Amino acid sequence: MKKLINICLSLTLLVFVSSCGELGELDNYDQPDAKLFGSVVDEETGELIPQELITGSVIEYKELGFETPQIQQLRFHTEGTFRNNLMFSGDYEIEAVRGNFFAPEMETITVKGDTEFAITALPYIRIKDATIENTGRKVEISFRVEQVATENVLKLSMVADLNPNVGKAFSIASATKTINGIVDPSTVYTLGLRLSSFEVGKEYFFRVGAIIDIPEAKYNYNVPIKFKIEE
Amino acid sequence: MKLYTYILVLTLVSLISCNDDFLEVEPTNLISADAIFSSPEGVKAFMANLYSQMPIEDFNSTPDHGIRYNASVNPNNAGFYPWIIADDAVGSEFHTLTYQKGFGDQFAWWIEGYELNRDVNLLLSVIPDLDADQSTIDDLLGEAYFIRAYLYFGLAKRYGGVPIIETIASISDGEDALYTPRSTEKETWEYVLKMCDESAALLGDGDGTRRRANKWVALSLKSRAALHAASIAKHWDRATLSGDAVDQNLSKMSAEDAAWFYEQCISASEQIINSDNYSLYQPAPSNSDEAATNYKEMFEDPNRALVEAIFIKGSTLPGITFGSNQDNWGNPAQTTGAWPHPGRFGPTLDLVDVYENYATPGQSTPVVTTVDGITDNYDGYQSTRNYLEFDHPADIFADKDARLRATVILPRTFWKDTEIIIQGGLIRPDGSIIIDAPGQINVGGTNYYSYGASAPNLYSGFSTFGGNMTKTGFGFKKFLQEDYTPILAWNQSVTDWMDFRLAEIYLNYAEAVVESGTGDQTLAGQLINDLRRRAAHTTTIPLTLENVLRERRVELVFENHRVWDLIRTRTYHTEFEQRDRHALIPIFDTRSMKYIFVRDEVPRTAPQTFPDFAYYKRIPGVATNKLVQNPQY
Repeated sequence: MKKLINICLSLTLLVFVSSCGELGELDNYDQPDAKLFGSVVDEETGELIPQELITGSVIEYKELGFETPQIQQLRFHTEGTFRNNLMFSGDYEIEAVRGNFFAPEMETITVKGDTEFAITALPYIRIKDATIENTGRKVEISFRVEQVATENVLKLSMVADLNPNVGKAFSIASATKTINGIVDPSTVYTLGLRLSSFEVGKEYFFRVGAIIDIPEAKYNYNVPIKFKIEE
Repeated sequence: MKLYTYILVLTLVSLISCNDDFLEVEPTNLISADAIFSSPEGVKAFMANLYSQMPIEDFNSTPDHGIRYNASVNPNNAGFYPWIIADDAVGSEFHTLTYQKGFGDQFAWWIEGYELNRDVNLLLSVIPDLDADQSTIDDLLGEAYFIRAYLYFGLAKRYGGVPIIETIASISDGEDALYTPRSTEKETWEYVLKMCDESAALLGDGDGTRRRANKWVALSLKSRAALHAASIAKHWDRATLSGDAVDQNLSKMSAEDAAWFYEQCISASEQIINSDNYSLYQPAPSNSDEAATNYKEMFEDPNRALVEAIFIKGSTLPGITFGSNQDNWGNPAQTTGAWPHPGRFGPTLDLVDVYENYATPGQSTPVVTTVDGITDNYDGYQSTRNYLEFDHPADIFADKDARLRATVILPRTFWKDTEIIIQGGLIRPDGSIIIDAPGQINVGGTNYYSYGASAPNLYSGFSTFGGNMTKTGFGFKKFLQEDYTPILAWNQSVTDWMDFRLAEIYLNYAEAVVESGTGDQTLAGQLINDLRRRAAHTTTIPLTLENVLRERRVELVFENHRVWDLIRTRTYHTEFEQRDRHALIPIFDTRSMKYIFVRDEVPRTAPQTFPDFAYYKRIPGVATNKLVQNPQY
């Protein structure tokens, strides 16, 4: 008798568990098993092309082999490198878009294990010889602008933030100067931010940039300068 | 043995437990669809619900919580209203344009839009079978088309081209019926205008209450939507985007389409202007004080101005889903009543500078604070500059367009019989300054305070107390009820909202005429000057784009047009690239016992940037609805 009850109870349990869906079934996907990293290098100078985190250039990629692959996005670090340590092995179409350099054509690459993807390109603009100074009333950066693209330079900008990812999206203070023309690479420009925007004794990150009149172009900045505000 | 039986029964029950037919009972506490749609009265009640779902951007429209943000017990977003995410005002506590939601999700209205669309389609499917005469049927159809036009306008201005769904998919239609693709942006705008036309053709002059759609309301919507579409078409290239949605013209308009849309705006506006149904409220005041009073009263109670109001969203009862929090958030700190956090919106100096002076017609006249007359120096107080001195802080605005003082509270002017103190600093007898910080000094036996008074309930500016103070130098006034003192409760304001009024139609017409170079230039110029005459200007100015846009900004300020104007003209990302907004800080100089003013960046704010992709909002759920996503999401 007891055995019968046990059988019935087990049956009941089994039916409950299985009757209304596939409960408890684990998904059958593997974890991400590959890494993709690289940088964007100025093809003439061999230096990295500095980037911006949130509002900067973007790398778009999609994995081949799906009916409707989603476009995925990857952002650059400030100095011009990028890295995604959670990629799935496979074939991808990849390209840099909406950036501050003449982007190469889309490429198809195979991502497996540690995969490096190097972008070699010409920046629209290079920021040269940026030097920072505390004038007592303002923090000023003097710099030269060397344009590679032939379109007009629209604006110059200076931004500052406590965050080393300083850029358009990270700034507690900014100044801009409208140019709307071709710049002479020997001209020294100076932009400044009021000292009262900063707290004395703290270290801030400053950078200057210029933007070209090309659709969807992003600022070409220098690498952020760490600078302590003294009395 | 009994136990065995129970277990057996339980087992049997478990075998059929996924068959839930027995749950299908008719609810007794709900009215069935048949009961509603069997009579015109039932349809009217249903229609009222549709009106309430329309995306009217009134006092309950917020960037972070969408429209109708009064439906919860605690609609608290601390006064994050549309006017503080552009250049007309600055929030007392928010230093970002985005607050909780990013740009891509601000003003999100996708799910709500398609819910309303389904309800409209449901209504349209039963109207032909109603037992009613033809004129009743026409009215119902006309209103339903109007609501449909309004909702697709709400979708198009947020998302660009959207799926146009006119029928309710049946369960037997198969899976594909659920996946209507996006129409192109151009087709979507054309559809909005077509629905306006169909509505206008069916509707008459209305009942005079201005609270239901009539022919003129439908044409007003057409005027607004056509101008919006035309502007995008003309200016899309100012903010070029790329991607699949652009390649397929889902979020792209072309300059060659602009002419047709401007033409549509001009013809719809002309019909309203030429009809005898509407005129400006108090068009010819005898002086600027009268003009200021008229303008203020029109928004305090739009029912005073039924000659000008075309469409009003009324509010009668306070409370959840009924009232708004306009008086709570808007009042200056000194007249807050029992409400703990007033003073949330400070109108900017940028806005104040746009207003004309009577002595300089046709020019935005920035407030001059120094002897040298330089107005683009925002570097704060500099002891080396010679500041102009004023006995009373309102004197500096003496010649400003009357609408300024009807829209904002100027320092030390009276509101609710209280002198509103807005002061940001103090100069000591030795010439040193306290600015944007608490402080006091005794001069000749009298105490002077940097904020103008001794305690936070006695002043309304610049202090960080409670986030309750304007930090721009100006208080908010438009729409506020002078006779109502806030209590400690949500949703207590019942101010009516004018969604369409004749002044907007004038401005739509003038802009379309100037931008397209077609239409009646003389009439357009006259309309602009009629609006200025109503504000006590006596000199006429020529019809130019600059004059039209200034007049639009001034006349329609805080009526929730500015954000969309920046969007449709594709100027948001250039106006807001590292944009600082500005304050006018009144400072009391204890040496001269007079006031000086400092033009400065708004204290405790950071520069703001509008990203280009945010011209189109993020479409939710593209993985399941199979729609092409807008660029960069």
